[in-house]
Amino acid sequence: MSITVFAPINILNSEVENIINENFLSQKPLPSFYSLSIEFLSVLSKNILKTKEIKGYPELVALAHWLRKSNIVTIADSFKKEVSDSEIIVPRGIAFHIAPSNVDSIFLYSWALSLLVGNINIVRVSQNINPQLELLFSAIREVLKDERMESIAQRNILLTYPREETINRFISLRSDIRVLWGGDETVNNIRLLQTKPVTKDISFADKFSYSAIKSSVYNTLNYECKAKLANCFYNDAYWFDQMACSSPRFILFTGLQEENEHASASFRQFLESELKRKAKSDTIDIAMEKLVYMYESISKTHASVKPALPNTGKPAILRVDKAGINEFRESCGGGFFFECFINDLTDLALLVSRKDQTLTYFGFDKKELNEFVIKVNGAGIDRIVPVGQALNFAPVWDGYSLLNELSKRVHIIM
Amino acid sequence: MSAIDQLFELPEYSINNEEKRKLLLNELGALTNFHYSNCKPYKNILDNLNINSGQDFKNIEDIPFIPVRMFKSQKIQSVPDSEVLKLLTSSGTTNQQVSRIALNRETSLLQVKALASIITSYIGKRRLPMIIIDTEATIKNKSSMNARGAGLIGLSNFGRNHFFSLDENMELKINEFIEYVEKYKSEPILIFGFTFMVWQYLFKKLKDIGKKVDLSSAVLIHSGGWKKLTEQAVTNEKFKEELFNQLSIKRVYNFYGMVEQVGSIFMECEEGYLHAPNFAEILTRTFEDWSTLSVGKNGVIQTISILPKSYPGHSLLTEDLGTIIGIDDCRCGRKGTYFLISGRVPKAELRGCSDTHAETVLKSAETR
Repeated sequence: MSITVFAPINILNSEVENIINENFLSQKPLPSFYSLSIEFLSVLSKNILKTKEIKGYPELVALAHWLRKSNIVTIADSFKKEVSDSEIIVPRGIAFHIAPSNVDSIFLYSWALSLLVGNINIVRVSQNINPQLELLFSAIREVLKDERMESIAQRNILLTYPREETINRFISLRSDIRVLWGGDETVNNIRLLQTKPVTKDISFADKFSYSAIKSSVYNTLNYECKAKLANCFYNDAYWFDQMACSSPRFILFTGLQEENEHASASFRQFLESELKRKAKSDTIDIAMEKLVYMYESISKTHASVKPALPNTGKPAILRVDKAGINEFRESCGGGFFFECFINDLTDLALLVSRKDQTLTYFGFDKKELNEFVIKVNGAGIDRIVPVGQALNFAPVWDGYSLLNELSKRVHIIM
Repeated sequence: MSAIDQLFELPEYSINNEEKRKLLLNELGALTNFHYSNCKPYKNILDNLNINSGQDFKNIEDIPFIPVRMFKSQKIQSVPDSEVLKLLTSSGTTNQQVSRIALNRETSLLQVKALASIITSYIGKRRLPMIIIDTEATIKNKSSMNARGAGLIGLSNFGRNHFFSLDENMELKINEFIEYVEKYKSEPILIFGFTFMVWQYLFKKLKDIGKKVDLSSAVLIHSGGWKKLTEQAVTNEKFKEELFNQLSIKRVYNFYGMVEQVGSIFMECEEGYLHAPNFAEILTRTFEDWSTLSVGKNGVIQTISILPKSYPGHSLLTEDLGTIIGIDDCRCGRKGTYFLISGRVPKAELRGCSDTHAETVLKSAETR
């Protein structure tokens, strides 16, 4: 059995050595973009969608869609186009993935891409195995029952173990690439562990994301469009309890004060209807988090308008001055937003910082966004996507072109 | 006579609700205004919520509250550091930041006075021989004190010839314990300890070695929460019953209190309900919109106390859940609001990218 998920008990270093043994480590990687790898992902996609409980987990539906053969082939093809004909793509070798706990599906994206380029993979998943992860594991096990998948099964290990430095060290020393998801501290701790001299790290650390809405355009929308946008925003913000790196925490309205007031009020109303439609209501633990977080926030700053106490059925939004963007880069999650009125994206460009990842937008044209990126000039912001696509995983993530990072190019000069 | 003097002057649990709320409201309004003028974070909160601290608050429900957790994340006090007499910290279980409560002389004195008024109404004014179910080490450092230490010091004022019955390994000093009980058998003994420790280190120990002790004239006062005992399916009823079987103790009083409002504790009565003393009040709120709930409805407990002068802790939203059972009409005869605690608000487990971090912290906290 190659999918090994240990119970959350202390496993000894020696047990790891039994699993990640010489046989495993000395295997030849599969070729990049091997047809079997694509098929594996495609069957996995179908298996996930077949699962009865899938309805409760929209993020897993999104994952399954992403794993569809047509999408994977598109991703592979567009990457291959970047490669000149004097270069050949080959695997890097052994990839060690540290998955974030609780954003259940995210590790699967980077693992899938790593598998696609042919790497041998060791994936450490969280000890905190929730129903979403269980569902994914059983879907993976199901694919691997097929004998034809044996060469994939032999080359991929999913395991869990307590935060154990010796095990991380053992695997780090044997990896050619490490994909590290986690908070800043986790990533830093792992990066302290010795690796081979040429091992490469791809780190996904703490990030902050926001949404910008151009009020003048928003205000022209009809009822259906506003409702649709609220639905898109809901998916961005409330899946993963607003705790994914790309979940928006700030909502910025750009335009004249009056336009912004109007747009904000309307946006709030539509988001509230969306919460009702989704029968989304905070449980007591989340309600308490929001209340405490709101008090923490208003004890430090001057809110622009009097906030209402959080209500379980309504969006929790606290309006702050521009300076607030830099004051509040933490979030309690669960759907708690800061709202800020600015004149235009230039205002925002001045406030962007290193940790900023995703800007979801509505109402801006290409030119405005291009100008914004040029103004920011790399100070932050890794991706800019329409509202509704915050969580859509793309092969370019946190500024990395992942297929490029996960593979190696061999250059032939004739 | 000022409101606060009246509340102290009148016999404990003797004031009817209407009268009591009038007196409290007077004092709470003044406290709100004082803390507004002297504590920046508190001022910010009230400003942002558009609450005028100088207004005549009509109802006790209108007095603004702050979440008790705020004392864990920031320094919240209304007096300069030079006036801080002692710093209290919550005991803090693993993986938790502790609350830091700054007490000045006035607050500290009020706390002592309030506690005396409450406890003596239960056990009389005479100091009793006292057994403490804890180790002496808990109260070594007097300038910085955790909740357990503060509780011990506070309660020890009502005893004499104090006997710390546990050694530093939390083992019952069994021979000395029996000698002590024997020596003072002609008078009531006061026993104080934390609920779990009384159960684990006193009762269980005696039960294990099959030793029955006659403490039929003793009074046991205990506090500190039921979490660990609930896990062992020990209810308050069972707790009392077992202690009676093993130690013949008939008078057992639990109290609900917190380091953020030391002094104004909520003592259990003979009917098993917790009672708000003269200088404190209890409200319950719904998590749905944080409005107050009526008698009989379970909600988040808000505790009100007129004692905190050096920090804005006079109206706190706790993370405990409970139900107000009634007002002024408890069968025990005590006036005021009486209630029950039903548990705690569970800790939110949010999903998220950075969660591997929490796991690391948890792990290192456990191994500490």
